Amino acid sequence: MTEADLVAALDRIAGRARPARLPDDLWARGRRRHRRRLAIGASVAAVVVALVVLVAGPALPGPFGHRAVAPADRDPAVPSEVGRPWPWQPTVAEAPPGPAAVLVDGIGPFAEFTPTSHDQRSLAVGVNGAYRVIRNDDGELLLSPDGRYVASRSTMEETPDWDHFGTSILDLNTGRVRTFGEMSPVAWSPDGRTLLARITSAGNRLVLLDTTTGAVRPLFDLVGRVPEDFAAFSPDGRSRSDCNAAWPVRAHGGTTAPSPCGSWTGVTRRVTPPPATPGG
Amino acid sequence: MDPAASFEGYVRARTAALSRIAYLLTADQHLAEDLVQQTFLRVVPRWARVVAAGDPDAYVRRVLYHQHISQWRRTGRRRDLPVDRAESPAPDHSDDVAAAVSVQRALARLAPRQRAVLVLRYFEDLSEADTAAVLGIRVGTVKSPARVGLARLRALAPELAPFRPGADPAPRRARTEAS
Repeated sequence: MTEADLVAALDRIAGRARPARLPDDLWARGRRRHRRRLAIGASVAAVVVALVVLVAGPALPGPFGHRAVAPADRDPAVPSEVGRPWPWQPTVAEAPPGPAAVLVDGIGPFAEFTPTSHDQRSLAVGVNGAYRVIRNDDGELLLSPDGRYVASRSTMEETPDWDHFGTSILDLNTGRVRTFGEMSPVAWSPDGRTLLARITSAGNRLVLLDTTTGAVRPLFDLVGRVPEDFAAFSPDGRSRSDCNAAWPVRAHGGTTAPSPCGSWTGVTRRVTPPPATPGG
Repeated sequence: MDPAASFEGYVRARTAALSRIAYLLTADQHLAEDLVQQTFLRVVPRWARVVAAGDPDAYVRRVLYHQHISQWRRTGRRRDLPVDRAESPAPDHSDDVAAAVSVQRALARLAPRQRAVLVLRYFEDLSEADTAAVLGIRVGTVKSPARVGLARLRALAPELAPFRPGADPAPRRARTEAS
């Protein structure tokens, strides 16, 4: 079977689908469901807070089934192991942990247990060893280099506007969430003030988001299949280099910056392909 | 326009197309109907903002794929979905029908994200970047499910053998551009 056959097979299978039969009051049902989920979420949060305060105190250290985590004494440290949190572990909004040493996200029983209005749960382990849950709707979060901020392309915790459709940044010091426009976080700058992001609603554009002012500075449009998830700031924070066999580029402050695998020209703001021959 | 009216208009226009995607993902008419309905219900609270963002279809499809994966997680991670009996090749033994049945059965045995990636790449004809955008994952994360999914398809349906393991799946657009 060729690729064309596979495409044809999928078309044939899809052709057998019958249009879903939907209730006439779909809009009203959706509104009722939304209000109900918000109410449930608030109730669950209240119960969790009460349990934490009454039973175990506001800062439960240590994972379920594991020994307690000892905070680092002096130097920054990363835990040697991360266990499964307690079921009633506080969220970041309920008890901000301060800067995190580790952020755990992705799939798994913990991440998928979502009785409230959010789709996913992630785990922040503070530099003080505290475990905190981050409720979110995306499952792929980015921790800033200083451990203070978490960026997501969707809503997290108590996002001020539940209907927000765009990037959110959670401050682990305060538990507060700030929202920005529709873009997908790619990488944090070393100082944690700037976020490299991708906007797909208008093509495929890389931008810099100043998280202190909210200003968005376009960098360039990505051409072809650029693996933007490989993008990273250099240690000095002045350049962003992407290097991948598929379509490597290098950005360097608005001037042409040759690289072994391609270049980005600040004047034309176009990504140019790598040379046809090594050294060409 | 009134959001409710706008939403209802969208539902009327897109239910059939979304039902086709849902059916590919679930391999079952009833599950597909439920998936489409749950998707619309989830979209309602955000509809006004989604419309204002300019491309409601992209958002709705993203919700549909996420909802599909979430439902799979919440129903005990059944790896094998029931394939509609109506898909049996009994009345027609043509190669096309047989291939479709093989593909559907193989799809039903894939993990939901693998299935979603293949549907996005080969049915919806999206690039890896667009596939990643719909699923809310990074482009690099798309490659593995696509590669593993194709390998499993090949193993489950031997007629898919010409797909080379590790080869990057190229959708219709890529082939068109190359020709």
